[in-house]
Amino acid sequence: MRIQNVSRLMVSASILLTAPTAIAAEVKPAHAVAHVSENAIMSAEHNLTGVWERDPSPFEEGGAGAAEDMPPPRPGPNLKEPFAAEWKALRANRQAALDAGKPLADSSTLCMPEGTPTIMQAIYPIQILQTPGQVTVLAELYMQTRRIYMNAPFPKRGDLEPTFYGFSSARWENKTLVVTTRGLQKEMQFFEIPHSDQMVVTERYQITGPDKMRVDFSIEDPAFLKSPYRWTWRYKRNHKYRIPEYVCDHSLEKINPDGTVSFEPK
Amino acid sequence: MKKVKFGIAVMAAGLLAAVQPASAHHSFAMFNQNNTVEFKAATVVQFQWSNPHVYVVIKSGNTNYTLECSSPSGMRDSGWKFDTLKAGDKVDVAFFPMRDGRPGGALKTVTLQGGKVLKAW
Repeated sequence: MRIQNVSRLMVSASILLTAPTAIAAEVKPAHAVAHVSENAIMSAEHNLTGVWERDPSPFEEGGAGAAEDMPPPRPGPNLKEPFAAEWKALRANRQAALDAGKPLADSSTLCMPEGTPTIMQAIYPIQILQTPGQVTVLAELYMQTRRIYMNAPFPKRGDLEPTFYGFSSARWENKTLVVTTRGLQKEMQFFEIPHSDQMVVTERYQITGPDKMRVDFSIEDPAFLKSPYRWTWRYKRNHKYRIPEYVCDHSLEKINPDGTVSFEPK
Repeated sequence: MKKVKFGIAVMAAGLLAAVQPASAHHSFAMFNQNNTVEFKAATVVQFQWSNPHVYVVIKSGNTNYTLECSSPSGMRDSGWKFDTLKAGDKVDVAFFPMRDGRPGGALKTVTLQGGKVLKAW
């Protein structure tokens, strides 16, 4: 049954990839060649399209329930000093506030985009779409959009704008999609880990079985990290789930002057 | 999404287990998850079906209580629909109250007029 679903998806993906190629062939033959090349390597191992949820659930892994209770993926960042001590104190302060029943506001409470690589945490499911020249990640949480460009050259150093998702360029290495991301703004932090504008996030996507995907992450930042921060997240494809809209507002909570967030009855 | 569900937090003693809801948007630390409040025949004032906040406002006595629920996807899995509750409905509710004593909390279950019980987390 699962294999049939994969086949059905493959047909859909092929149509998706073929249609723009055919159009492009009439006007821009050079681009059409590139698209055919991408299409030619499309196989079950190269098909990332679909709705994905973490497997196992991040909530089960975290154990404590709420998203902000989740620890960063093990083994955690190997930060240089004084950043290590500062980060540890920051996390301890946040935990103490939680334990006291007065949680501190965070970027999630403030309805800020998660950015790269946090979007891949998939607290709620994510959808990956493959179209000619691009892989797109759509997240239920905050209705985020992340664009990854295939084989795209990075802008020159001075031209790389700092953004939440950075500039992501991807290439296939056999059956692994390797995505490199640079240009991540300092305010966008993964589990509040500080970083510099030299940070590089590398992701390696692999289909490991029917509807199963593994992504190996690596964060390198010589200014802040003693060694690369590496971890793995696994996902399963959900053929039935339709991602609903998500309009982040503050209809039920209030950010207080002391930085805490409180629930506000109507 | 159905991932928003009860998580299990084992107390330090290792003997007691408290069930607490999970949230992707804000913490549930403001709710007292060691206490459950129940109202019989409360009146639905408002039912808001939206992501990230599904919530219901009910009236018990002369007080309105705002009760937060799971996400629409999670609630759909538990048998809810966008129009399960309407203003004026009489329902029984059980919820984790707010720690600061204000009228609100995290809805655990609602019992509809026909006796059907729906989990909100």
